[in-house]
Amino acid sequence: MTDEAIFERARRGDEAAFRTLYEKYRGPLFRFAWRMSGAVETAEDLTHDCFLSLFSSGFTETRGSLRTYLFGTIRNLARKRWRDHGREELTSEAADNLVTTSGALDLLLSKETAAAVQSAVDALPPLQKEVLTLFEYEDLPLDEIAGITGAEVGAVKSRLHRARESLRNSLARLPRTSIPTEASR
Amino acid sequence: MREHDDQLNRLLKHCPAPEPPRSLDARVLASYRATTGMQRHSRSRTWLFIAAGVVLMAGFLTFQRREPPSKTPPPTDAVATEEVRLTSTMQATGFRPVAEGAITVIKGDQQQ
Repeated sequence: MTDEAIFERARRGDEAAFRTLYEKYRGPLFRFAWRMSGAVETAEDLTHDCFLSLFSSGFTETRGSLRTYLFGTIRNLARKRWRDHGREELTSEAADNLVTTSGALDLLLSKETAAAVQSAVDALPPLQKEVLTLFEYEDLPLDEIAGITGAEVGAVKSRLHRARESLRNSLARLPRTSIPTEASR
Repeated sequence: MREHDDQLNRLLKHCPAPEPPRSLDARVLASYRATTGMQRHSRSRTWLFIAAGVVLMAGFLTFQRREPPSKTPPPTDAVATEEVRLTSTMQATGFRPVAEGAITVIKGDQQQ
């Protein structure tokens, strides 16, 4: 069953269908919001508002896929929040999560290296950062990212290229011992 | 599009995001229930209004049909009084009501 069909059932009050959708998208949407906002609380608010918007404004299939709609909504909410409040600093709690949530410590970067990467990503202009996040972390195809951001595929490619170029420059100063090897993944 | 920069890819992938907190689940579920509950309530209220409208319309139409189709005004008292007066004049000039049972029925072609 497609996401759109599940959504129709959820809209008619089928809570099990809603839970299916929610479980599928809570993680990706929250992570995207966290990378865009830099704060767990803000990411939580944005994810909540995104799901609320889904059921109050009424998604229809003419607006594209449900995934595109959800990412587009949370992206717009994050941008609005950015305009209204500015971007929150990465909290120490969130920085700790960078290391502790992915398992054994010997497979992870040092906390300093993870923080340096996060800091370099944070320093990107918003349009480059959202494209990089959707492509690198959420593995979305370029055409879908174009749909989410309302840009041409060519513009998405260009932003992605510039983002990677900036990151290379920013992270060039990291000591080679702190860069994870293939075996550590 | 994946550029050949394994080092950068590894760095990015080793920068995980935190998991969503459990408090988010409760908030979202509560909002979902409130939203769909309100929509259900709103839908049932709409049907109630429609049903009330249909009943009112049916009542109005029924009432309309019971009205007499002709707009001719009923005879006034003045006319009735005139008829009584004419009858009494005819009786005065010799016409008498026939006795009960003394009626003769004449067919139309036998007249005169």
